[in-house]
Amino acid sequence: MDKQDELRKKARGLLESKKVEQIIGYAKGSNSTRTTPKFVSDKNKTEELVWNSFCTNNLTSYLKGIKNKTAIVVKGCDSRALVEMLKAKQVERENLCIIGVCCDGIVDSGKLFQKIKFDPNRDEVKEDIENLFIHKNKISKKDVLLDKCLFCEYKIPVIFDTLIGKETKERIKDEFLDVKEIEKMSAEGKKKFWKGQFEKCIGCFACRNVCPICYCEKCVLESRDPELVSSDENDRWLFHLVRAYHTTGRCVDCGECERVCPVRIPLRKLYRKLQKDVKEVFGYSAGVDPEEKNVLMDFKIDEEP
Amino acid sequence: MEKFEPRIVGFLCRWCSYAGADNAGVSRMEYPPNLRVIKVMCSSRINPTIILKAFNEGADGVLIAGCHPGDCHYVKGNYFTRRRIALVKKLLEYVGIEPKRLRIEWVSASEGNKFAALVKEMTNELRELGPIKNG
Amino acid sequence: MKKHPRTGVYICECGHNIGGVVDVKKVTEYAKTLPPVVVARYNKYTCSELGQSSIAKDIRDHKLERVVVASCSPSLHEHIFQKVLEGSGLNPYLFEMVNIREQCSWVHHNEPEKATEKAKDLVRAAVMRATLLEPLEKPTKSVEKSALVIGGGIGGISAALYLANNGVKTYLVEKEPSIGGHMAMLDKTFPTLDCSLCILSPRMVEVRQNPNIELLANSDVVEISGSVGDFRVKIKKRPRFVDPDKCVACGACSAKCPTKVKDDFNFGFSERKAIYIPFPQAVPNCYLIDKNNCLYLNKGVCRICEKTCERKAIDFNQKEEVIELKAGAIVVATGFDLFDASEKKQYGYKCYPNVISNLDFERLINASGPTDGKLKRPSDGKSPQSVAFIQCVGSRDKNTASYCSRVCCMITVKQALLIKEKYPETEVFVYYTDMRTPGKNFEEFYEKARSKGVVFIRGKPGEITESAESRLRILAEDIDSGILLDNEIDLVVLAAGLRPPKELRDLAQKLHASLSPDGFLAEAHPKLHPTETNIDGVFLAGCVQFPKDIPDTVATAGNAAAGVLNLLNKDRIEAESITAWVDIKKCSGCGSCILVCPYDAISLDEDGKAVVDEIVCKGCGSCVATCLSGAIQQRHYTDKQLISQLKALLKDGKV
Repeated sequence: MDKQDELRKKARGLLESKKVEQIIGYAKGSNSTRTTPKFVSDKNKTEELVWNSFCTNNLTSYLKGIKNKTAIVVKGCDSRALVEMLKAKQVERENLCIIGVCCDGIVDSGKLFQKIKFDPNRDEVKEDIENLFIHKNKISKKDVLLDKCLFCEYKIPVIFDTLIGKETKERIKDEFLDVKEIEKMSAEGKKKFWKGQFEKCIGCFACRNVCPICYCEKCVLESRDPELVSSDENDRWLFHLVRAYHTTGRCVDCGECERVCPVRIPLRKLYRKLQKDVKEVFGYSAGVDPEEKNVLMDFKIDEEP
Repeated sequence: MEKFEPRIVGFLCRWCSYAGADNAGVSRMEYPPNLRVIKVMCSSRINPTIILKAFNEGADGVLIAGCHPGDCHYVKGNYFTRRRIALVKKLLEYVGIEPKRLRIEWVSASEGNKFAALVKEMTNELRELGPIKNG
Repeated sequence: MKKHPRTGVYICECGHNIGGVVDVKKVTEYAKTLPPVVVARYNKYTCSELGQSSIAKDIRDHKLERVVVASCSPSLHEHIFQKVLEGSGLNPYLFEMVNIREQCSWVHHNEPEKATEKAKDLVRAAVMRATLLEPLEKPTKSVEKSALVIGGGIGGISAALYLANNGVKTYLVEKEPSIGGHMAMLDKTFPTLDCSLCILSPRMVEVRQNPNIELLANSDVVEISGSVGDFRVKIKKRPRFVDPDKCVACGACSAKCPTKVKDDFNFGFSERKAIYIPFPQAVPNCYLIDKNNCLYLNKGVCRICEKTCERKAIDFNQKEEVIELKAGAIVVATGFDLFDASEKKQYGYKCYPNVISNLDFERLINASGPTDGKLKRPSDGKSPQSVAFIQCVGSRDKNTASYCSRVCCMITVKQALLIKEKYPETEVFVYYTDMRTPGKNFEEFYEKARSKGVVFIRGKPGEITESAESRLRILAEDIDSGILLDNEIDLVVLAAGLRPPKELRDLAQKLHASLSPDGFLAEAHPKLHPTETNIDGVFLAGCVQFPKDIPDTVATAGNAAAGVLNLLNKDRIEAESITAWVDIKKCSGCGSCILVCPYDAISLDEDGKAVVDEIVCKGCGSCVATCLSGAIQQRHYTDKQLISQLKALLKDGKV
C-alpha cells in the first residue's frame, strides 16, 4: 500500500470512529504540479486526499484558532512548526490528531519546468519513490527538489499520533553552506547583497502571513502606536531584520516564506543564519522537543555566548 | 572637511552601569562626548528590536551596559541580555553591520574608569569604521 | 496638531560644576524652542529652596503638566524634585531628570562646546519623553500580622522567640518530630564547652510555652503562594499516631514495644523501638510511632502500646492533616545537611567500622548518647588508644564543594579537647590543611588543645586503609617537615563539611528565592542585606545561607526577625509603581514572559492571557523585551517612550 492509500484509509477510519471532526490535508490542485489545502469532514470524501511530491504547503497555519477535534497531515518540517505552536500554547494537544507522513522531499516546480518542457494543465505527472514520470520522460526527484529538502534532517515527523510510510533515504547533515557563503563576504559585500534584496521588498507581508510561528494578535511590524517600522521604503531593512530576530529559536525552516514571496527575496538565507548560530552556540534546534525552552528564555550561568 | 564624529546611543541599567557612569564623572575622568544615554531599570529591558531601530534611526554605535552576570539587581535579567545581544550582533554582522558597532559591557557601580575607557575605545573604533549609512 | 502637555525646563548651573563647562544660557534658550516647553529657566542651584520654589511657582502660574530638570545625577536629588511636584498637585512620575553633570560637564571639561551640544540633545530627548509620561500610583496592600518560620533548629527557634515576644503570631514548622535541629545532637559547644542541650533546652521549652507560637512539628511545607504581606502556605502534618495532648512521655509504651529499629538520632549506633521519642528533651514532648516499622500499621498485629498506655494516648486512626495558613513574612532557617563522607571513597566511611564522622563522634562522646559518653570503637567496643581527625572532608574540594565549611576546625579542636579531658592518655592527631579559628576566643581554644598534647599535622591524607583488628592506616605527607607519615590509628574521625539541606532546592523554588552558586540560599546583598532574600518578605537565618556557628546563627535570626517586624509593623506596604501590565488585545497567550520573570509575577488567566501581579512585579522589564508582540509593557519605560527618546537623540533638531 503506498502512502496515499494508507493516508486515505487512516483518514476514513478517524472520521468514522468520530475520533476527529475534520481532517486538514492536501487535495489535487489546479494543475498537475500543485496540491491544495483541503478540509474534509465527510468520511466518504476522504478519497479526495492526496499524498505526492507536490504537497508543499505547511498546513499547520490553519490550526490557529481551531477549537474542535482536528486531524492534520504533517511532513517533518510541518511537524516541527507544530511543536513550536504547541510550545506557545497556540493549539491544544488534546484537540489534535497528528498524521505524520514520512517525506522524501517536495519537488520545486520551478526547477522541474527548467528541466523539462510540459503543460501542467494538460500533462499528468506520475511518480514512484525515486522518480517523476512526465510523457515518457523519467526525471530523478533528487535533481528537482526544493532547496530546503536537499539537507533535511527531519524526514520522519518529530511528533505524530499515527505515522504513514517509513523513511526511505538516509539523512544528509545540514552544513548551512548557503549561510556560510554569505558569511565569507566582506562587510561591504554583505551590505550590498542585502541592500539589493531588501530593495525589492514591496511590503506585502506575505512572508509573515504564511508563517506558522507568526501568531501575534497584533503584529508589531504593522503597529502605528508605537510605530516601530514605518511603511517608508527606507524601513524595509528594519522590517526584515526585526522579523528575522523574531524568528530566533522558533523558525523551523519550513520555507513557506520564501515560496510565497512575490519578489523572490531569499528569506531562508536570512533566517537560517540565526538557526545556524543558535545551533552552534547553544546546541538548540527549534521544533524538536515541546518541553525545551527557546534559547532566548533560558540561560546558563557560566556561558560566554 | 569636518571630521566624522560617531553618534553612540547607550542603554544603561539604573543600578550598576548608570552608577558606574556617574562614578566616572565623580572621578572627573575624560571621555569623548559622543555618547547619549538612555536609562532603563535593567539591561534586560532592552529588546534587540530597539537596538535595530537605533541603527535604523542613524546611530553609528549602540552600547548596552549592565551589571556583571550574577550581580543583576533583578537576579537574572542580564543573563537574558547576554544571549540576546550575542545573537543580534551576529545577525547585524551578517547584513554588513560591523560587530564593533554593538557593544555589551558589564560595569559595576565602582568601575568609573572602566566606563570611561570603554567609551573612549568605542568612539575611536567607530571613528575609524565611519558612519553607518545603511540602506 | 496634537496638543503637547505644558512643560517647564530647568537647567542647573550647579555653581561652576555645570556652568563652568556647559553654556546653560544657550541650553535654556534652546529649550524654549521645543514645542512642548512653555517656560525654561536656569538656576545657580536648582535643588536649593529658591530653585525648588521657582519650580513650584511655575507649576502654579504656568499650569505646568510636565517638569524637566537638567542638573546632577537623578540618583541624588530626583526624589526631592518629585516631592516639589507632589506638593504642587502634580503626579511625581510626570517628572524627568537629565544628567548634565556626572555624565556631561564633569567628563567633558576639555570640550565645552560639544558638552553644550550634548546637553541640548539630552534635554530635547527628555522633553519628548516627558510628553509621553503617565501619572502613576504606588499600589499598597495590607500586611498579615503573622509570620512563618521554616526550620526548628537554634536559628528557627531564636527567630520565632524574637517574633513571638514582640506580639507576632508565629508558626514554626519543623520536619522532624522534635525541634532542636543539629544543636540538640551536640555534646558541648565551642569555645566555651557549654553543654549544648543545656543551653538549647530552655529555649525549646520557651517555644512550647509561648502563647504566640504555634508549633507544627513532624510537618512539611507543601505549597507557598502569594507575596509579601500575604503569603498563603499549605503545611502537611504527618501523623504521630499519638495524641500530644494526652501523652506525658512516660515511656511505658516503648518499654513494651517488640520492634527494634536502628536509631537515626544516634546515627545507627544504637536502637530504638517503633514507638519512640527522638530524645528525652524533645519538644513537643510526645512519643510517636514510626509507621514504616510498626507491626500494627504494616501487618495489622500487636497494638501492645495501645493496651499499655494508661492515658489512652495512642491513636492509630490519626490521619495526615493539611493546614492552610496566612503569613505576612517568612523566615527560612532550615539549616544544613552534613556532607556524606562516603562520597570520599578513599576514606572508607561506611566501609571501615572505625571511620566515623564528626557528628557520629558527637553522639558517641555525649553522655546521653548510645555509649553513655564513653568513647568506644564501633568494631569492638574498646576504648581507642589513638584517634585521628581528618579535616576538610568534602570542603575546599573541587570535586565536592569548593568553599570552606567554617566550623569544622573548631568542632575538631573541641572534640580533641573532649577526648583529652576524658582520656588523657589517648593520642590525638589532627591532619589539617589550614586551621581556621577566626572567632572570639577561638585562637585561645586552639592553643589550649595544642597545650594539652593534641598533635596537629599539616597534611591531608590521600587514603585510609584498614589493617588488623579494624585499625586504620593513614598515609600522609607532613608538609611542614616534608616527612611521609605512616600511622596506624584506632579510630578516625572525618571532619565532614556542611552542605545545603537537600530539600532546599525544592523550597527555594516554592518561594521563588534564588540559590547561590554554592547551593545555599542567596542573600539579597552580601554586605548590607545579609538576612533578606531576593523575594520581598522572605528572610533567612543560620546555615541555610552558609555554614556558620551558633552565635552567628542566633545573630542572623535576630536580624531576620527585625526585618520581619519592620514589615509587620506597617499598616500597608508599598509596592513598585513602574510595573509591567498586559494589553490583552495584543497578548497571544504564548507564555514567553512567564518564563523570564525573575519573580514569577506573571501567570495566565482563565482566558489564557498573561496577567501581571503588580504587587510582586519589581519592574525589571525582562518580560517586555521578550514579548514579540509588545503586548506586555512597563510603566514609565514603555517602548513608545524609549523610541521617542531614541528618535529625539538621533534626529537633530526635529521633534
